Amino acid sequence: MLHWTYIIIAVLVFVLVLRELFAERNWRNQIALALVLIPLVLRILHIK
Amino acid sequence: MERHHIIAFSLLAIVVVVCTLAGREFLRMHEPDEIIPGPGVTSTVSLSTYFGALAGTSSDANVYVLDSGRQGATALVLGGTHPNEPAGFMTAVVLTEHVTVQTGRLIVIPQVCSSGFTCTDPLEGYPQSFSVQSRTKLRSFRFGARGSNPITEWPDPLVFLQYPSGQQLSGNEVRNLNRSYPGRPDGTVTERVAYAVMRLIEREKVDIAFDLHEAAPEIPIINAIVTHEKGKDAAASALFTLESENLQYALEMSPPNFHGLSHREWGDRSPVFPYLMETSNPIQGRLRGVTNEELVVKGIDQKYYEAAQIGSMRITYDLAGEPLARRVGRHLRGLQALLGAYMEAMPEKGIVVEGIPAYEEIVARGLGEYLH
Repeated sequence: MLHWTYIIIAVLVFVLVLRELFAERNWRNQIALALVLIPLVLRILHIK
Repeated sequence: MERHHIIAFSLLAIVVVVCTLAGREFLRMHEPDEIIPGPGVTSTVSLSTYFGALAGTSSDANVYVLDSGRQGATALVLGGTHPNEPAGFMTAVVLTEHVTVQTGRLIVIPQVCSSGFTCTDPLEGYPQSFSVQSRTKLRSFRFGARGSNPITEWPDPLVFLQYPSGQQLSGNEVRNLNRSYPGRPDGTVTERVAYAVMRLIEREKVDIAFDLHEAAPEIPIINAIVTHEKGKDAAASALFTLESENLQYALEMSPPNFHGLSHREWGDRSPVFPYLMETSNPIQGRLRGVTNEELVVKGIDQKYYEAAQIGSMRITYDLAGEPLARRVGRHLRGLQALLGAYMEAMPEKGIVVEGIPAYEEIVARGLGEYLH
């Protein structure tokens, strides 16, 4: 149960970061946001 | 479309590419290692045979049975309890591929914590695999993590309450198989594996069992045999044999109040004589330098040599290092001596294993000589 709660939180954070990536106008901040997405994707897909 | 949207889409495409490349690399660790059953293997089953809930999960493991057909003792050998301790599981691979049993029965699980073989420990810079040249080809084996893959039971608790003792341990130890015995059927992934091993010991009526490990060269329990009280006489007898061959081993008693460990729980909860053996593995140490495949196989590290020169090591460490072949040789010789001592103590329970390479032989000829 705790595991799936964690995955749901990861999905929510992923959506928020993705939304921020498209709202952000500074390209340096956009790069930082894109970097944050990588571990979230790998964790949500149960790869790493 | 505005400029920052174009950048966002471009970055998203890069994220997809990076995730694909990294994902392929990580998923490669889920491909099982090739272990070729030798002439002594009479049957191969899965750990899930003993606890069905493991079937179809990354925690199921192959169990190789070498049955002589002649009545005698049953010995169990576990390798890969900690998948970042390669001498443990390579010793089990040599037994699976090379030996035959003339009396009694040998059960070998080379990669018991199979989930731990699907990842490496974070922040250690460990290689994902290492290679050994066998007689016929270059064999590759995974170098895993100390515990089960966190993806199977994440998140770790802040404090791990060991079942059933209630002993408090660091949260990440929840994924450590050697803190999880006797396990439970409805517990964490790691506790279920421990439960399956306990059922195997019970169902197969195992008489003597070995859990093969390695540890950092600077920790006190290396080149050691850890024994439960009931196995101490046989262990002491084995030590005399080993000392007479100039192989130094420390004899450590299993602490009665340290729960979850194989040598404690197997011994307390079953008739089995349990032994845990440790060799010295530089890649696990804090003093190590370059951390790569070569360090796994050759075990040569300049900083450990310097530490030995100033007298900071309790084992001999020279420029030849601690090669994998030597560490596997120590495990094999220790195991053989303990089996001999067990037979002396229990003459009615014979177990005769043939084809175990001698220590000097495996050191001189290399590990690959004993692999298919």
